[in-house]
Amino acid sequence: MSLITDGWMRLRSVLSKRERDRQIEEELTDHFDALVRDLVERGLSPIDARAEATTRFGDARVIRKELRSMEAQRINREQRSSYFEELSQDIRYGVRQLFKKPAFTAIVIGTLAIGIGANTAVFSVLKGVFLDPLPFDEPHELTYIWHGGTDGGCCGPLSGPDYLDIKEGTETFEDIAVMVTRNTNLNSDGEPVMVLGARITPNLFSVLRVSPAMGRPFTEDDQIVGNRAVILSDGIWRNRLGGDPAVIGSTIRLNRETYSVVGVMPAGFNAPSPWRLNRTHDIYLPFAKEEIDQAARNSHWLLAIGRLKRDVPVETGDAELKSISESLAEQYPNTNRVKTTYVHSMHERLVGRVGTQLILLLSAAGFMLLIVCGNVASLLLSRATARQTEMAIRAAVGAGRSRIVRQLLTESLLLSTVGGGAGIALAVAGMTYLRSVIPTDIPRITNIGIDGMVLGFALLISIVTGILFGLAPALSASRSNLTESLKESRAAPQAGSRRAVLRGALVASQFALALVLANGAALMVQSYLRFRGMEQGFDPENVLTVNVSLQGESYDDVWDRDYFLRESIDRIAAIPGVRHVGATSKLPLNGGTNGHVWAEDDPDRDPNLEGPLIEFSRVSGHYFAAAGIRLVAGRLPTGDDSLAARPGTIINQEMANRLWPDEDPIGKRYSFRTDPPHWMTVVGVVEDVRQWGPYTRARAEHYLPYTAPGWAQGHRMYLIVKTDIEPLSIVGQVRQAVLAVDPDQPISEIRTMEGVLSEEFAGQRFNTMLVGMFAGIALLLVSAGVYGVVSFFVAQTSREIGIRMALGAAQSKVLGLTILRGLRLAAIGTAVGVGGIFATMKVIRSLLYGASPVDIPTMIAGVVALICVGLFASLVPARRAARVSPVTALRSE
Amino acid sequence: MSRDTPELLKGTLDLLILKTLQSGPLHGYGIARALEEKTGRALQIEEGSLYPALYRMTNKGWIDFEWGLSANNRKKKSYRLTTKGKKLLREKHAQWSEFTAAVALVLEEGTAS
Repeated sequence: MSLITDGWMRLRSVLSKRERDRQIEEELTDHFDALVRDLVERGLSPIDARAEATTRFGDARVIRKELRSMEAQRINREQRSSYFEELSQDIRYGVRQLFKKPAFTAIVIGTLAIGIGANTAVFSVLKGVFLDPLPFDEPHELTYIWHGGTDGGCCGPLSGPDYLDIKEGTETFEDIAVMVTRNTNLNSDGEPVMVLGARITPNLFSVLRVSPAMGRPFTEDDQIVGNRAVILSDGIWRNRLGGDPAVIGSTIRLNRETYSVVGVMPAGFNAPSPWRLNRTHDIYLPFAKEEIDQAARNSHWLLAIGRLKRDVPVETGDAELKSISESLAEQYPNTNRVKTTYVHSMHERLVGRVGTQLILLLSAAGFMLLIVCGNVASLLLSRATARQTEMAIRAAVGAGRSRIVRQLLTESLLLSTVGGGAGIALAVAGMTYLRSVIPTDIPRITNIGIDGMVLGFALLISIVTGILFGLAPALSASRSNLTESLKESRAAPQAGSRRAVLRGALVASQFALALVLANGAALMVQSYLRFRGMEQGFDPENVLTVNVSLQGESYDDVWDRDYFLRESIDRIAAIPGVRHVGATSKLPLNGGTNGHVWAEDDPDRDPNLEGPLIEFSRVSGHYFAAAGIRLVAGRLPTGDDSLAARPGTIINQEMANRLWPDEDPIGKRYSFRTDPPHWMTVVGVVEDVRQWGPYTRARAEHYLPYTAPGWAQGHRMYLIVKTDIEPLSIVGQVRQAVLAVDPDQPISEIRTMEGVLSEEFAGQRFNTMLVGMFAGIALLLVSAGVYGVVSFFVAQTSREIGIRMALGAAQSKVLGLTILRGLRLAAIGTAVGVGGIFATMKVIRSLLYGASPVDIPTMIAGVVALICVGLFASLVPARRAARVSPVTALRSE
Repeated sequence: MSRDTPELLKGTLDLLILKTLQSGPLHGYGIARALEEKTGRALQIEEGSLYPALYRMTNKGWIDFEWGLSANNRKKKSYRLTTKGKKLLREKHAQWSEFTAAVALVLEEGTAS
């Protein structure tokens, strides 16, 4: 009795501050009254007694305050210690429970590991590539500056004079530097090797705020022609020059010329080029001043990097440079009339476009994780039914509902954190594999790794997952009626059916998620196959490509270069197995160089207006035959065409359509915007070949014979070799052939055309593979979920089934009814899923490279597929139901 | 005992309360009266110091309280010694004996001469 009073009073004082104060008050009043009574008994009058008692009590207010604060302290301390005690109890109990059912625990941890591991891996990619800031000081101030057209076209490099004018006129930029990337031949001891070099203005390092780790940066003196200074990257210093500490002042031979090393950059530094995302520049060379000062104003070849002044937003810089472009347009109408400038943040340009894709991949992984949660919740719900007696007893012995829920949640969190740990292990193990299959057009691959933030993310989703899948089962399990569950050995129908409905709802939502995922995957596969199967305009089968870099004084004269090319082509053609050999200044799909042209007999030709933008390249030898590009009109260039006063060129269909629509282009003349114009004549038309990757339409393009005057000097050429045999088998012989012509000339970028083509699709392939994998796992999980629910249902109602069959129901009927249960869930789920597809339609567009995300046939196929999954997953338990012997079912009660 | 009880005397109050509770649980007023009687009215604890001491000692875990019902069904809070309190009582008792013995030595010295 007193136990209850005490407990009750304590509880009330914990719950209510007013009650706490009241209890203190009561204790003091009690004492006071007792004192008064005693004093009266000893002879004082009631009034005197009260006065005396009051005096003895002293300053009541102060006392009360003191007592209240001490009481509050006591309660706090009590609560805290009991909280920790309960928590450790829960954890110990939970661990014991999990060990009791090892199979269950293993399955749950396994699926959680897959779900959490996948999300962790994708997040690590997202973070390394996109979220991490660029490795420069104040990276948000760094921008790329592009030249574009007033018609909205963008983005190309700047011209020298434009760059200088912008650099001088700007007030929003702290400084602007330019660079170009050049393959350079390094002639050290042993074989010549191709290295990636960057020619830069000396202020590039200060714009990026990096200084050489050894030696000094470039100065204006280095820009004087003839002063051959070079700065090395840390990588090449260590790997090729042995990390020699006395490297400053030593010399190296580049393009057969001697250069003096003046500095070595720190490890990890790389000049950021948007066209060579994962390659490091090995050497840095300074521009000669004249290269930029005296370049043509309409020759665009310089990559401009600018650092904005502190706190200046990109838009302000962009607006200022646009207005500078306008004044340049007025000053130099011939060249700048339709030019404008674009300023893009460096981060956006380097990693921006990948960001969306990665976030979508993460969402797909997230969907899969949600489905995993559904499965685990479903499993936990089924366990709840099995543990009903345990729960009911705990409730009867006095554990409050919140206590039970807390304990079950602790179990769930235990599962999810262990699953998360296993998931992290999976992700770490998969990291090496991931880095090897990740497409190279994703930037900053080396920055991908499992670090603190990634671990934090894994922990976070483990906890959220644990709560997500644990809450409903915990609430459901704690809602047990003691008498009922002790009475019946099977499920208490009320709790059981409520749980069954919950599980059914879970499975239905899993279906919805799986449908969206599967639909996305199917669309991606379709899109990939479609792009892959497209007519490329060239024949990539059995074609070898290698790159040669014709730089340096010995190759300044175009005829020297031409000689090299002809000789090399002839020698390579002599190799057995080779069918055609040619050379080109740029490979299909690999980007381009372009300029504006005029057509001669264009009567509307306004000398101040620029003509359409045309891609150009130089070709030599039997390029078109080697690349398998079809001639559709006219003829191929011969040797005479490059000598003629008006050289004969090949154009593609797109150019023919743009410059001379509805006319025969053969014989027509056109020129680049030079002053005076240099006319060229069309002698042949070939099929369109895409220049800017497989997803962009082919642009107008012309092919110039190698020695013809014009832009693009062709210092960097690709040798294209068409073979009858496996192309890579003749690489050694090709190398020998080139070395025979020029012993200092390495070949590099050795690939097959098939490989080049395949690389273009690497990104799409990667995305499709990942999403497909997630969808596949999701379907597996969903079928497991349906199987579980229907099995459960069969087990619960086997008695009822037994009765039905005893009363004469056919086996097939029982089968049908059971299957129907599974189908119903599938139907509801897919209906919701279809809604989900429409809802997310805009979002996944960017992963589909132009295909429409709402493709009715695919959606129908997806729905049918999922319904089949529901059907087959229900089949096994349904057959079990049909085979229930009525006698056994009725007896085992 | 006066309000501004210095530490020494506060410690003594604790010792007295602990000792009083040794014979059995008592409510606050009971403790006050028991002490009064035992000392033959020589020591009169001010109510103002008693309850803070009781609450303090409860927080320290030396005594524990329990709510019960009095004869006329009123809620009454009674205090009792805990195991920790019993141990402390023995310690403090020993300390007090040592202390008084030492003081006595010093005082006697003066008288003796």
